[in-house]
Amino acid sequence: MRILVCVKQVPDPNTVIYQIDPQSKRLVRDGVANVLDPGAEVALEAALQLAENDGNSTVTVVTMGPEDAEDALRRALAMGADDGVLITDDGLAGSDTLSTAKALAATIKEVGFDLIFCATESTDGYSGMVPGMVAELLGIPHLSFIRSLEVANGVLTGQRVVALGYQTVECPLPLLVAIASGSHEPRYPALKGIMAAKRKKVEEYSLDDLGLAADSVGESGARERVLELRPVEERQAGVIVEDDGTGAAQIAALLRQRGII
Amino acid sequence: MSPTVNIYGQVLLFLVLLAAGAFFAYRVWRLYLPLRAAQPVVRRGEVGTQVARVGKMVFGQSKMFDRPAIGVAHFLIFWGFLILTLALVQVLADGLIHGLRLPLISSHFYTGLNDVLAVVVLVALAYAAYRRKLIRPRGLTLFADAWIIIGMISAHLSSLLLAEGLAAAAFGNHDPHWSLAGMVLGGPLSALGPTVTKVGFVAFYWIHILLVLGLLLYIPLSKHFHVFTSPVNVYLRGDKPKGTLAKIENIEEAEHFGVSNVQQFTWKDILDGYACTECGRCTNVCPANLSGKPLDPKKIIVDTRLSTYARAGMQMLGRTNDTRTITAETPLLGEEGLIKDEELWSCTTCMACIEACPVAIEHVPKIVDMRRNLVLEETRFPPELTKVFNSLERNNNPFGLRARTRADWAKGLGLKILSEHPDEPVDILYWVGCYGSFDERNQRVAQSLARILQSAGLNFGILGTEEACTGDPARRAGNEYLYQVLAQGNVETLQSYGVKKIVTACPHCMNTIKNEYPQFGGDFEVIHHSQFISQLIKSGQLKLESGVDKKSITFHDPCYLGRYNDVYDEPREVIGSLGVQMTEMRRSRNKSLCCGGGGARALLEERVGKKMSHNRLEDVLETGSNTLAAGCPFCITMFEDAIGSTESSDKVAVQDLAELVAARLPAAKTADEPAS
Amino acid sequence: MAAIWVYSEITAGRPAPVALELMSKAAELGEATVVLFGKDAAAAATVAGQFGAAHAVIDPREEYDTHLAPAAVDTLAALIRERQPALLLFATSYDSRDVASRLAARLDCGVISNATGLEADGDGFRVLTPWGATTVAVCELTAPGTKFVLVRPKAFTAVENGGTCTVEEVSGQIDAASTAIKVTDTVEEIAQGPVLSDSKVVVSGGRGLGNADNFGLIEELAAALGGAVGASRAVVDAGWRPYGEQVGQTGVTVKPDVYIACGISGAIQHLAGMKGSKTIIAINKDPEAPIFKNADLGIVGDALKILPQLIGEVKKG
Repeated sequence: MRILVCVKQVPDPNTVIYQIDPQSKRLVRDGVANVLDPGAEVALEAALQLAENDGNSTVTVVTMGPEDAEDALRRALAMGADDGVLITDDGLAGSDTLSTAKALAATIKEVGFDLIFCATESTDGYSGMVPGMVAELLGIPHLSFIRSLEVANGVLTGQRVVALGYQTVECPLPLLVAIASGSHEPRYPALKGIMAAKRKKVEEYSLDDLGLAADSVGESGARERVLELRPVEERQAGVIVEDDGTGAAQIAALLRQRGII
Repeated sequence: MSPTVNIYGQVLLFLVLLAAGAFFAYRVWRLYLPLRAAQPVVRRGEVGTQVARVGKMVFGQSKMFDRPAIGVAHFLIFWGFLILTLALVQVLADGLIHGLRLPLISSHFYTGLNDVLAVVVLVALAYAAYRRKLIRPRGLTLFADAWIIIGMISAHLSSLLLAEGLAAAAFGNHDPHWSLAGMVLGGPLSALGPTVTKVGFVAFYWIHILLVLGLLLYIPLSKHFHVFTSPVNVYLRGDKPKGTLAKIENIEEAEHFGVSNVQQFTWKDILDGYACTECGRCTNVCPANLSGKPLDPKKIIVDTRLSTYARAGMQMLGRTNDTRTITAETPLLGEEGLIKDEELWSCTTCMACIEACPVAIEHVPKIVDMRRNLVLEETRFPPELTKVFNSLERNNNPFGLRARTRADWAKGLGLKILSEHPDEPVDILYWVGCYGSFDERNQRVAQSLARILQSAGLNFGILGTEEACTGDPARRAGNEYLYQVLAQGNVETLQSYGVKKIVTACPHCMNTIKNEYPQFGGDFEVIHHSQFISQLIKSGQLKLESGVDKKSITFHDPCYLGRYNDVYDEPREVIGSLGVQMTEMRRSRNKSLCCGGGGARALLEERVGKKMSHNRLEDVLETGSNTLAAGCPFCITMFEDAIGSTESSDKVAVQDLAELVAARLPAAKTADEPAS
Repeated sequence: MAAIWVYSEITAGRPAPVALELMSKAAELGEATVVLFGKDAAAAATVAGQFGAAHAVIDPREEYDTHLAPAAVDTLAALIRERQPALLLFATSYDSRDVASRLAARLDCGVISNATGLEADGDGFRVLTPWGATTVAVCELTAPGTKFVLVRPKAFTAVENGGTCTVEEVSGQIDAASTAIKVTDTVEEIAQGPVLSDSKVVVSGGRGLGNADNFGLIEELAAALGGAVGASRAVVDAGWRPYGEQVGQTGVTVKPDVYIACGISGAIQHLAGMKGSKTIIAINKDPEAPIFKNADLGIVGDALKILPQLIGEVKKG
């Protein structure tokens, strides 16, 4: 079985600070390490376990990003993936979810697959759009929020998390599955894996290789635009007040503002 | 009268000795082979030091007297047996060549000493038997092996005395004023008549010879092999700094990491196994063992030995306490193995075991070697460590806090950050460490120490955000690769600023930089802040205001300061200079009981048994002191936790030495109230 | 009036609660049409009318319940191509994301996720999405055709106006390939609140609560907020709470939208496990407690006094 795992490099979610640069209108990443998305690690773990049980499978990790996204691929290779694919092109910078999905789908068609794994959502963007889009563009079904799975006779059976429990689902391959975060405990790479990862093959694809027009993706192909940035109303971060009887009300106000109540 | 009677007896004795000697040599050879096949390690030290150590630990039995009764008994058995063995040489010489008298050991005095010691050793053995049967001390292995030895030696000595008495009865006391056995037993035994006493003499003579030869053959398969191996082991300990772990050279090219079978140990590790007497002193001082964890340091050593024997095609005898079947195929580690993962992960690397061992066995490096295998090869470790390793990799600290915020604690203090003043070299680098940098509690320690250094008018600086974890928790958790990456980076940073002298409030950082960075070409003078403050006070550079306060202090010796680096006096000198009441804990200095935080344990959950920090807190509370002086951020963190969860904050407060001193800086006499 | 469509999931025979919020908002901004697929579609349409939908397009076949997103996408794509509404709203939920993402790819539409606000802007719409805790990005979809927006729950208020809607039944063309997925079983698991590590809201307690019994307040607040209960190491060590609830370096790492720390001082051990939270609220008696350095809102006061009031506020809504 040829298993592909779509992964993403993200700013370390443990240390990211939610500050926006007003100029670029992007998240401030200064001093924050880039890491393999923890959600992608979970998906990769699920894929590796399947491949190990199957014994006759290869696992290829695919990512789209700047050149240094290769670091995320190397981490995935150290965990045990067999080889990697890096889609990188200046023209892809600023891609929205659909453009990202198009680049991924075009690459995946080139690479070939039986089964694709994704995280349900990335830890930085958390839109959860890319898995379904990639599946649609490839013309295959997709199952989201899968927490456990097995493949027998070309049919995948799994448990899909829903609000009050889970559904048992089945679907013949080829197929894309998005793995629920927290469903698998990602392995820490063994040192041999780290060393072997340095020698594993990473193939690069550019827009030309994929036959994608530069204006259909990236900043120029984006279907949305940020008009302005507004500070969240009413209060600044880091307010410490003495409780004068209104403490509970102040907390409630903040919870309402955050859409929790 | 010679006991071998005639030439046939002489030849028989010769053949028996030859056979026993050859068989003994064969067994020792079989046990030598694993040493030869083991990994190389250079354990060289200054000969004088090593001989002195052997003198102290072997001939002086220095570590034995922590338990006075058995210490004295063992001392007597050791010396008694040593002298009796020489007497035996004379007896055998006479048996082989009638009338041969060797110098010294054939003297009258020696004959007398011989008999006295035989009795003394018998009494000591009786005590040993009593202790095993009735006292049954914690940590001691109670099994047949010991009884076999006690029985054989007792029988040997009894038959020696009997033979001598019978000889006196049969032939007249050959040494009338010195042979005490002859004098005491000769008279009564002569009642048996000449034939019986003659035959009896020859019989008991042979019995005593055969018993001692039997003992010789038995010993290599017993814990009593230590009579041969422990002096060698003590000598070969070498003089490497006590707490230094071996570097895995060329780690990127290595095929195997750490130890998963005994052949991957060094010969010194195998020899440690041979030297073990199974006395259990290590187990009795192990903070993990004392708090109900599955770790038993003695078992670790014994298991490596049993595995070595099994792989050499031999079996140890008399192990009636151990129901396991151990073959050459039995793995050392894992679920099916001799040593379970949980045992290894329970270790705090506090080195109390090594300190307590009478025969210089080094438990901790073996445990770390096996952890290395679990981490680097098997990736089998407590899940909390994943977070630690990832954070160290990404943020240079184990907490996952942003590396860029490392120097935030120093904001507004006017400290010199080296990268901001590249042209102004400093005399001293203050190495802050992760806890001092990121942990709010220990930031107060860092701020105190900074004020002290400022008050002494020193030209010092910090690395700021360029500082990274020394790698100590990674290394001691077995992640040697991550450690090497961090160590390499830090050595380069330190060298780029031409740093020569480093002061730190963290004994773990101190130990790593001082004793382990030389493995990466980093040679720095590193001292603990207690040493530095003590010097500054003595030299008059640091002036403290005298104060009358209600503090009563007890000091907890951090493992990595005391046992690892032999710093015991300076912290006490610093406390002394404060003019407050100081009470020592029941277990202090080199016997200090670990807080539970070392060996990356502070970053792991303590799931089994009692918390180690709670055990130590009991020692603290026993002193009735209202202030626990500490000198290590791990200790402070563990004790703050322990005080919190045992609701003891009304009884005692933890203060770092730097905080105690900073409170006495001129014009800084605030917040110096005792806890109660 | 702009035609605004709402794709609604059906739970227990009714439109999902968040879909009702969307319908009310759609009615406010234009003419609301609800799309309902599955065997309970007709019943759900009646409810939709009461919450602002003017029209309902329903396809009450069971295929949609067993084949999941691909089947719904086939029917919905045909409807959108044919009728071209200005805006199509989805909930940010498990199933709706699957439908929205496939549909957007099929129709080559722009899509904005995680919206918390929606404003009319001439003929178009402006979409508000939170960027971190302190900033809201105002975006617009620039591609031609129907705009897709996925909205987070609680962004809008469902307003019951007692109205009714027209109901149009359609029978969409479901491609054979779109029935590959089969749901063979649905298992309801005993709801014990969300899993700590995944919960969007975490309410944690520490020693400042005084004793184990007072943890009831933490449980009550967590339940009211639909969040999970967390604990500091000190109270786990003290045996008040199980280890599974321990947040921190050696316990669970959490990254909720809102973290409420009650009576927790915030030692490094705790901080290491929750500093990734988007909003941190702290209640502690000690104004010097380190937790305040990391809090977005810190109340210096007695948690035992504030918690019951807060629970009251939350239950009020």
